[in-house]
Amino acid sequence: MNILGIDTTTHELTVAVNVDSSIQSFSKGINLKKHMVAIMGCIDQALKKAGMDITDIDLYAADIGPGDFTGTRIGLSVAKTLAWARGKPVYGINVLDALALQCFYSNLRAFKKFLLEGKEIVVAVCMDVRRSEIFSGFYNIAADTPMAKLKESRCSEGSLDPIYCSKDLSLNKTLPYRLENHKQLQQVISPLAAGRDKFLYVCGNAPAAYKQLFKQMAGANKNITIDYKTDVPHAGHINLCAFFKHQKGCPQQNLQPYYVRDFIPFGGVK
Amino acid sequence: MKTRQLTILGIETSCDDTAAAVVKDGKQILSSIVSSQNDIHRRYGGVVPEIASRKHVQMINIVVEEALREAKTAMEKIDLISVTNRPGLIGSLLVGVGAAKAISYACNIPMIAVNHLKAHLFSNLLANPEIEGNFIGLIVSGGHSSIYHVDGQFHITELGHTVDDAAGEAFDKIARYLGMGYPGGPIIDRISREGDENMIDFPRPMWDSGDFNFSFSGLKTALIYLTRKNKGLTHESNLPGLAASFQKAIVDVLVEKSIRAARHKGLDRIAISGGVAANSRLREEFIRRCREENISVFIPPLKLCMDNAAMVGCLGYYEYLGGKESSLDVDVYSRSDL
Repeated sequence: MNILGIDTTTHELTVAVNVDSSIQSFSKGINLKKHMVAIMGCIDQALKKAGMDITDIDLYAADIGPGDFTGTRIGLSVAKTLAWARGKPVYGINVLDALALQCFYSNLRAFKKFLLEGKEIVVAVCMDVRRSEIFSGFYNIAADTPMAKLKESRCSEGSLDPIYCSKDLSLNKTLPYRLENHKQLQQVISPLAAGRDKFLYVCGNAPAAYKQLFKQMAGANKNITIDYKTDVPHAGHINLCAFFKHQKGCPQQNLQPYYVRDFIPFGGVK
Repeated sequence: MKTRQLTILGIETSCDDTAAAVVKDGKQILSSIVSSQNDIHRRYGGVVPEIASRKHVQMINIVVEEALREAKTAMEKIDLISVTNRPGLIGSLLVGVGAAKAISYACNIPMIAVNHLKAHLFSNLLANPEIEGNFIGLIVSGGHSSIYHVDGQFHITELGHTVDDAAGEAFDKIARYLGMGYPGGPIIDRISREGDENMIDFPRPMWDSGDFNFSFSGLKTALIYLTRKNKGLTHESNLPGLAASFQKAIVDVLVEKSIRAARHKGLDRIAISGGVAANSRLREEFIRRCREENISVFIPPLKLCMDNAAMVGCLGYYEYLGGKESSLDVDVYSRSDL
C-alpha cells in the first residue's frame, strides 16, 4: 500500500511516501512559514523520489495537531482534497501519537533492551500549546506489550484521540497542564519513573520550550530521559500511524484540525 | 473578446462563505453553491476569522462535490480551476487555494488564481453576457467600496475608494449599535422600508471632495452622537426612520459619485456589484438617477451580488483565454489592488 503523508503543524513542512510501514522518500519545505507556497512542490518531489506519481497513492495522511492552526489547515485541506479528488481514503493523525511512535523508533535499541529485561517504559509526549499550557499524552510500553500490540493500540479506534480508550495501555489520559501548576506536572510525570524498573522518556517540543521546568522535573532521576530530538512530527511516522489505522479498519472522518481548546473571541459571545 | 468552450470549476473562500460553482464558457452557470456562515457569526456581531477558517475546512469538499453534482458533471469534464487568492482573510483564502491546488495536481487540470474584487466586476458579465467593456464599475460590499473604470479590453483602473469604512461595514456597525442584529445590510434595508428617509438629514460625506473617494466612518459617528443627544431616536417607533435616513445618506453618495465618474470619463454605462448592491434602496436609486442622466445601469441578480464562486469561474475563464495561468506555488494575499 502506497501512502502519502503531509505534516504542516510546525514551522517545518514535511512530506513522505511510504510503502506500507517503510518510508520510501521524504521531502522538506524550504520556504519556512510559507507552507502554501511550498506544499505542492514538496509533494511532487517526494513522489518523484519514490518513483511514483499521484495515481499510485492508495492512502493519504495528514496530522491534525495539536500545532499551528493555520499551518495545520493548509496540510489538511490539501490532503483531504487530494484524497477526495482521487477517490482514496484519508486519515487524520494526532501529533501526540505520531511523536510517541517516533520516540519509539528513535530509541528502538534502548527500548528493546528494557523490554527484554522486563522493564516498564512510558513515553510522555509534551507539546507546548502556548498560553503557558502543555498538552501531553502518555503511552505505556510494558514488558508484556509486544511491539505488534503496541502498534495495534495506536489505532484501536477512529476517534480523534486514539489513545483514550485503548485497553492495552495502563496510562491513557491526555490532560492539558497549566505551567504555573508545574508541581502537578511533576506529580503526574515523576511517579512514572519511580522504581528501578520504570523508565520514562519525555519528548515533544515542550521540554525545549520550558527547559528549566523539565530539568527540575527530571531532577537526578536517571530513569527519566528527555528526548529533545523527537520534538516535531515527521511525515513518515504520520504515514505509519495512518497505515495502522487503515489496517485496523478505522472509520474515516471529515478531517478537521484537533483544536486543543474552544475558540472564544476577545469580547466573548454577544 | 476571444471565446472558447471551457467548463470551469470556481472556488471562493475569501471571507465567511464557502462557495463552489461550475461555469460553462464564462457565461452559463451550471451550478453555484454557497454555504453561508451567517448563523455562526451572528452571535459575535461580525465575521470572526478563526471561526471562518475552521468552518471552511469542514465544508470545502462537501461544497465542491455539491457543485459538481448539481451541474451534473464530473471532475474529468472540468477544463480549468479558478480560485480566489486575494484579497481576503488569509486563513480563509488558504483553505480554498489549498483545495484548488490539490484538485489541479490530483486531476491534472490547469489552475488560475484570481482577484476577488475583479471577480465582483465580472459578475456583471454573467448577468449580462452582451455587456462590453468601457464602463464605470462600482464594487460596494462589507469589505470594499470602490469605483473603477473598465476599458474596452477589460483593463481596470481604480478611480476612487473608501478612505475608512466600507459601506457594508458601516451598515453592520450601525445595525449592531442599534441592536438590530447581523448582518446589518439586509436588516437595515428591510427596516428602512417602513421609515421616512427624510426624517433626519445626515451629512453626505465627501460630497464635495472633488474626487471619487468615499468615507463612511464619520457618518456612523454622526448617527451615534445624534442618538446620544436625543435618546428618543432609538425608540422602536423611530428606528425605521433613523435607519432609512442613514441608508439614504450612504446610497446618495454611492450613486452620485458613480454618476460623476461616468461623466468624468464620458461614459454612459455603470455596472454595480458586491454584497451592498443587493440593497433595494441602492438599486432603486441607481435606476432612477441613471434614467434621469441617460446612463444605462447594470445590476446583477441578488445571488450574484453576494460572494459566490460563479463570478470567480467567469473571471478565470477570461483571464485564462488572455493567456494567464497560475503555478502550484501561488500564495494568498490579504490585500491586493486590481
